[in-house]
Amino acid sequence: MRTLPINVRLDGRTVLVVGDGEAAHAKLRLLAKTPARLRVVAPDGWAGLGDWRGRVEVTARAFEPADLAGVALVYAATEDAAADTAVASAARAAGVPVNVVDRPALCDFITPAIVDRDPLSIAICTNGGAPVLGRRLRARIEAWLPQGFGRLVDNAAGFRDRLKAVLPEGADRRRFWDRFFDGAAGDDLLALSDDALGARLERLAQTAAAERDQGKAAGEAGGEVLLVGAGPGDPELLTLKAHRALQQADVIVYDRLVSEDVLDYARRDARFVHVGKRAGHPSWGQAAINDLLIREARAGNRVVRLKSGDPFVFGRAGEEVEDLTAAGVAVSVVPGVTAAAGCAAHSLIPLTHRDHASAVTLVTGQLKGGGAQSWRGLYGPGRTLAVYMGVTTARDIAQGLTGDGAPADLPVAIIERGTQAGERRVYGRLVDLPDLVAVHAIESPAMIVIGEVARLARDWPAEALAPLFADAESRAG
Amino acid sequence: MTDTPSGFVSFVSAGPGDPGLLTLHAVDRLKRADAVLFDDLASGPILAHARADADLIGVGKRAGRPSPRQDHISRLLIDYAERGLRVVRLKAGDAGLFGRLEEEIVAVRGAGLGYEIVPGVTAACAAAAAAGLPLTRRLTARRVQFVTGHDARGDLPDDLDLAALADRHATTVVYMGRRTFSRLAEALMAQGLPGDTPALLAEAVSTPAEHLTRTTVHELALAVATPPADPAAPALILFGALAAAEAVGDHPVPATAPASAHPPAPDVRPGDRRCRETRHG
Repeated sequence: MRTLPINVRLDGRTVLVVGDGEAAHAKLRLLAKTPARLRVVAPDGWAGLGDWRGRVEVTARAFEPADLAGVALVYAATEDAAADTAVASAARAAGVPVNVVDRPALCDFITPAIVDRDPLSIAICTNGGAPVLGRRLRARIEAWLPQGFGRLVDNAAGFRDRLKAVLPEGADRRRFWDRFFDGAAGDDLLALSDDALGARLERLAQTAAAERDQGKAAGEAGGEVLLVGAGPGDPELLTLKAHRALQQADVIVYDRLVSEDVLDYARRDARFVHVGKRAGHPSWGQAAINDLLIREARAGNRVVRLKSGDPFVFGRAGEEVEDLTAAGVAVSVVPGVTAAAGCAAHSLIPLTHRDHASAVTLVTGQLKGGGAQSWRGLYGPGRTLAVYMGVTTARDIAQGLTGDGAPADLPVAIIERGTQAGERRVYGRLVDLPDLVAVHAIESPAMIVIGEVARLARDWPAEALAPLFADAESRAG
Repeated sequence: MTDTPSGFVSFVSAGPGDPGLLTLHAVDRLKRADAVLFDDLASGPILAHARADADLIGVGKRAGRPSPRQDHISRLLIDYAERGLRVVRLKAGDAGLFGRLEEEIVAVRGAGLGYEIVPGVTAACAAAAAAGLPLTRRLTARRVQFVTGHDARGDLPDDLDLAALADRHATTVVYMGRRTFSRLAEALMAQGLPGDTPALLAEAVSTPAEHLTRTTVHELALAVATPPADPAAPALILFGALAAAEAVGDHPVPATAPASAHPPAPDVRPGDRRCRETRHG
């Protein structure tokens, strides 16, 4: 983020607008919705500001630096470049944040496009790059967000103290609000009167308290673990359920295979626990991870165990499910888009094809806990092979498959960081797989798709099936 | 969208059926679409994400039958896109896995139109999640293979690699394979696959009608001889190591997160030429 959106309290504070033209009026219209005291400095005084009699205090002369005394924010809106620059310099010297209309470079702060559903407000800012786009976005949000939304916020705010008395635990209250606002997705809540809303809040709170007591009586702490598929990397490939789970999590347990972008879609107040290998940190064993999940769930937390791709495809989630179930912890699994599907789709490779592939095999290049993957029996005409984590064993894969009858010039696609920023795709022949990995310095995570369908990739180069090193000399030169 | 100079076709994966298993990307494409072409396998509440004024067109390709209307579907896609509109072609599960996109992609490419594939959750992953069965497991299920039980002719494909399918170190998922499973099982057992290999029949996965049956390859081969109550309901067959079947025992984990609050499903019947008038609002 290049700038930080914040909301500024203006009760009892003064905002100064310098100028009396159209730009100044536009700012005043916005500022008049806040409780700020408004002052205007303009040479013609009320001549240009008649509409604002009673709301603003006008000083009829040119701007002077002394006007900034006691001012919280200042808008330079004289529509005269030199005069506006002078206001900006004076403001900076006095330490008062300044906005110069239409000159982003001189601004300490930017006024965003605003959707106002007081007390709810939504700010949209393109950092001066495309204000028209910002306004269009605003129009879409305006159309989508019902007018009565602010009232919902007021009612919720009014109920907070009461709720604290009924549900003293923070986690219980979060669940309560999730449930309450889930109902708000239909416009049904907005149709209720304030009294009816109050009654609904009270009833839901009583239900939540009763459920909590029943849970306690049954010896449940109320915690749970969701094993959630994070998809191949692009956060837009999260499912709605996965997104919701991330938004409602108390604790999020993840490893290095989960992309940082996905974590940005999670609830910011959740506790994030990185259990993968990281430089300078000891790696977590599976047993330690399972212990952590059990401990957090027993403490009553909603725990999300994020797995790259789909949890049940090379995610080792089976072991976690077993341990959690044995420990009596409630577990559920939210499936995800597996990396083979994600990477193939982005490259426009169909994994199955009427003419080329009636079967797909997903296989891992590395077997955890030792043992070499057997490449025998994996190749066959009409089959697509998608190899997960195959970068370091590319040589074994190529030798194993060609040794088992696969053609040397079988098309392969290597997709590095598939669906993520910096995705790279490299194409060639099966026999050249280890050299392709070396020449292009392919790094994990990468998906290797082997089979005729690879040739259908959107950017499959015409020369992809030529031997990699046929022109080795000219390339070296 | 009127400000789009040329049309565009998005082949969008609808996931296994539960509207909560749509991806954010799929929802975005549905919201922007001017027209949505859907099969009966991928309809229901998912279409509620489309704009109120979008054309919703059921093209009713049904599993297990040849699709004489394929030309017609391709023609529709191109007609919409050539008018500069954004078209979503909704496909059940993951569009790249047995989504039969090839004819439509060839047509769209031939017309010089842009397209994309939005990946999704394939039914096998949803079935695994619902049953609490991992598809892979170190030492016992080193790989997972997806095959189709019916080819373009609606029959068991000729090129199935029976030795690979009979491998006990793999999990095998057969899509659209109920009708042909007796014959497949017979061939696999002849290859040495034990008849008591664990199997799972997963019907209407991730929908309210979901039904999971734990069985064995041999028993399932006998059971599928009886036609199902709803032959149109999608069914998936999993067999092989299914390691967790023993470890998790008879306590499958609950399917997924609690029911989500989604907008009500529009009343759309598969096969409707145009359903706009049936939508709410």
